[in-house]
Amino acid sequence: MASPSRRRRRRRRRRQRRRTRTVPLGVFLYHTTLPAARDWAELPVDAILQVFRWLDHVDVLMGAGLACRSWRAAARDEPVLWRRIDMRGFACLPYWQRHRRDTVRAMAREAVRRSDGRCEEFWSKVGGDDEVLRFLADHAPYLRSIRLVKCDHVSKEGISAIIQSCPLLEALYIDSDCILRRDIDALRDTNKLRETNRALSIQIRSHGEEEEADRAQYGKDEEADTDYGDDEFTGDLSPWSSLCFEQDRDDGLDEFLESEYFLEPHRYLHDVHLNEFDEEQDCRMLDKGDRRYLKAEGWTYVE
Amino acid sequence: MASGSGAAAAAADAEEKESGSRMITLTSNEGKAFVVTEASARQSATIRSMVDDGGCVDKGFPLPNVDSKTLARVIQYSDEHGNKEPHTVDERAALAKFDRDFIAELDADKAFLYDVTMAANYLHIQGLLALTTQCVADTIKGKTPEEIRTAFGIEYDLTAQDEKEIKEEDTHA
Repeated sequence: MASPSRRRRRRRRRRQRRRTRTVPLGVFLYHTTLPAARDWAELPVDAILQVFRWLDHVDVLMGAGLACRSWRAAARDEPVLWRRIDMRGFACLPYWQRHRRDTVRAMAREAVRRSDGRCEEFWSKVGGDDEVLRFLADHAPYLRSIRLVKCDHVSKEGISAIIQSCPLLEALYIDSDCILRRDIDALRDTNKLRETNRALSIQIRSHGEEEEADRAQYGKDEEADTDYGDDEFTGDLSPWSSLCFEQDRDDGLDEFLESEYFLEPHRYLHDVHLNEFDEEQDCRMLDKGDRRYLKAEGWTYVE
Repeated sequence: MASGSGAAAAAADAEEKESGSRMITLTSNEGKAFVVTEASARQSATIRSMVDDGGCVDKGFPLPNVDSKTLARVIQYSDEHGNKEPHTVDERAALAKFDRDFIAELDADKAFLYDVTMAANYLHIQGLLALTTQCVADTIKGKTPEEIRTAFGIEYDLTAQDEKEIKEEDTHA
């Protein structure tokens, strides 16, 4: 702790020495009129981390974490900050970058890397794809929950990779148009879930192009839903107890995703480990809607 | 001997009962003394642990890292939160309003915000620290690194090595 600060001080002293040659007289006048400036870079790490907890991870990656050396060190070297990665906030990105997959992919990769293998939850809206899932499978062995909203490039390969290599995974929520019901069938048959008898809740929303064929194969949606519902898989302690497969035939998909129903907080909070809800740690994971919901439900949170 | 220790224990008990109304003196780095109730001082985890350890309650606590102006503001906060326990909805709303006004004043003066944040961090007043850091975070939100440096007057001190690493992270692809 002491040596870097000493080094910094030495560097500053050196800089000051250099500066003494070129000070114009006006500077003195200017400085006397200003109140003593505070060096925000000198904020203690604890306080910086507290600030970062209020920010979206995207903000930390692209904004605050690049402001100066001490802030960057706090953003980079504290895995605690990255235990629950939430890539839903895109406030600091320019519009044209928000929907670019490679940007999101690079950010997700960096965030997972910073978690130092201790990432437990990963949430993303737009941009998550198979590559992200594979990276998670390789670098986040303690993952318990994944939530990918509007991530249309996730396919069964990514899902099976993550199921195979994350033994603690409890909840998987994926909203993708590349997954078909028969993929899920294939997954159920091939993976080792049955052997390990894990409690894994999987929810997949799909609006695939092969919808027609899909429906033809399974008949009416309602019937299919009951088939996949409680009857078949819960009785024998199957890990697929809450497999739920929804299909959205509405053309106005975007409106739907932005609609109040879709943004209803309990959609996000469903499957989140509410019993392990640690308000101080986790309040930064919640957006305003979630907080309002928690408040209505009688949960307290740090405001 | 035994009776003596018994008397001491009794005295400690009395002190315990009295502790709600005990006054504690805090001294700023300029030597100015502030007298606060114990409930108010207990908002600070640092002072709470010192009081619980039975240390120099009578002599008061010198706070070499906090100046008078900041300490006065911190005490204003801890008085509000320590002396009252909100039970009704109205009381809670009043407290929330106090917090809002409190932070709105600090938001206007970034240097003072810095001082109060440092004091809250040093004294470990969780509620106050959450309040000030959220204010800082609100300023940061949605800004580029350059804009953040301008907003807080931070000097650009990333070395070429840092810049190379950032490029390797490639989040700006």
